[in-house]
Amino acid sequence: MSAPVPPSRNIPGQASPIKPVLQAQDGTFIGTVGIGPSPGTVTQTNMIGFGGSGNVKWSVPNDYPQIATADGGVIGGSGITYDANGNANGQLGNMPAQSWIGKGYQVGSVESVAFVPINLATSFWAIYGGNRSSNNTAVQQDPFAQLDTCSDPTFHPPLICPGPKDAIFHAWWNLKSRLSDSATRKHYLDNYVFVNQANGHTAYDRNAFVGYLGLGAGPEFYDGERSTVKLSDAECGGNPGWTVQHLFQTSNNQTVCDVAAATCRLDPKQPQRTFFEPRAISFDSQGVTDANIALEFHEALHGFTQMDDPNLQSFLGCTSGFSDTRDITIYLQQFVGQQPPNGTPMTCKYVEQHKMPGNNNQCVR
Amino acid sequence: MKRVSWKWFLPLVQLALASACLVYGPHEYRVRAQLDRAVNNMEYTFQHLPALAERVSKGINFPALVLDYPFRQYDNAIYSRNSDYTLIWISPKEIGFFAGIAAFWYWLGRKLDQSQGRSPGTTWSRKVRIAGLTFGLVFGILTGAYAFQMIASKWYPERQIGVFGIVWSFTLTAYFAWRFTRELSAGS
Repeated sequence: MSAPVPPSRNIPGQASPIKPVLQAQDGTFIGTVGIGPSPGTVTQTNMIGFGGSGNVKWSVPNDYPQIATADGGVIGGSGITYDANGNANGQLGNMPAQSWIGKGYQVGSVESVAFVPINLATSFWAIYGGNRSSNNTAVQQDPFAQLDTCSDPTFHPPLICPGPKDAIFHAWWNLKSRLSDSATRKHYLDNYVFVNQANGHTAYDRNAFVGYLGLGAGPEFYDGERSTVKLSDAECGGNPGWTVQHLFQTSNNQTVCDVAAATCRLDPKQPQRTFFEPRAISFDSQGVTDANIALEFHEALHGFTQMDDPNLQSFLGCTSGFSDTRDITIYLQQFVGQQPPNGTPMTCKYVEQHKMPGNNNQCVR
Repeated sequence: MKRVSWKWFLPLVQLALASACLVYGPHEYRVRAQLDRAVNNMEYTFQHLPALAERVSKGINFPALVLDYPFRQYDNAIYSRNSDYTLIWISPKEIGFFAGIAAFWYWLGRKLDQSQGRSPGTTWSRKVRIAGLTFGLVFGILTGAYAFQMIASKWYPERQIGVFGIVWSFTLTAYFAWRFTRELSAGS
């Protein structure tokens, strides 16, 4: 980030030097300036927006910048949201701080609160204090980027429901209920998913898996296309120097979404952590599609069983190392689809030979 | 006819090659993944990235990769452009690598120019010469250490690049050891 040039032009009533605080989405800066009757006597603090060359764009009395948002605006310390021109366009309630992984908490409290994570600007300095730890270190936001949700009040205009986050959470919720909604389904799941199909022995407990899905405050679903966290820091494995964002963007272009999801934390004692390609999440039926539910089932099994794709394929009776891992998803889909299974289920090898899509993974949007 | 100046020619050629590989590599990976029908397969991704073009580029320029070592974890894009053809991804890691290419091949080209009598060599004091040669020797050994670290990796592309590193390590270490011995014997 290059240092901004503080505005050279005097602001009416200016009583203190201008202090740059945040960098907005478009690269301009948002800061504060003291206003008062004489230099050094500050009676109010105004929030101002200014360009890199020092030109003042707008000024708002009695507020200060807290978070730069993805729509080019800013949220003030008062909780008022402003657009890119400094016009007030909304009001948040008690504004919680936002932790690195997007869970809200209120200052002075250790309890998580219901909170819609805010879409941060992608500039290097989008939050007051530099990053979510307020330790004045400029990092490019957002290490764990939230999937867009239609309940985010900072989108102007608001996102049409569902957003990718709403859709995949609907799928997750329905997966949890479908895992035990009928005796038939339980029977099939217990015999064809949670038991090793290769040797008939090693078994996992379906109820424990349902418990895993609801661990903590629920699963951590992030936007793989925008998350700047390093693979190693996200517990993803692979080349430690790469970021999640780089990995997704290398595999996916404008039409192909070959990496739809990546589950990084293979630990049944911690909440599921999965990065999604938002364009691979279907919005049909508010996200409650068999494909979304099966995809989430596939990813959650990685976290719960601690198995990578080749091992999971082997466990489910697929060909270990089969390059198109949609074989796992399609195999699982028959057990958690809208209709419970009927008759003898397809084996995964049958899926591989007869049910695989003819082309690579196309983005659904 | 004016003869080519190696100290400019070599870095320019290598930078052009590395730039081409940086652009072509992601395209090559995507085409290969498409042919192999690799979908949602992280294991495949890790075993095939970077693609062959970038592995060759990094192998040929392994000393630049060593110089870039402090930046190897800085992968956040300063500039990125994702199109259907390829992904152009410029991060501090890439910039460090390119700066390393320019520095290393300039040094090598300068040595070549001097050996062909086209560039007057600077006369350094013996202490400075020995310090320089010691640095070169240590650099050769560190190159080998980094190469072995890559060869021990679980990921195939890393191991391939590491093999290039071993060759570079032997070459650099042998060259500086020979120069060092000669310097010492000339002084005795």
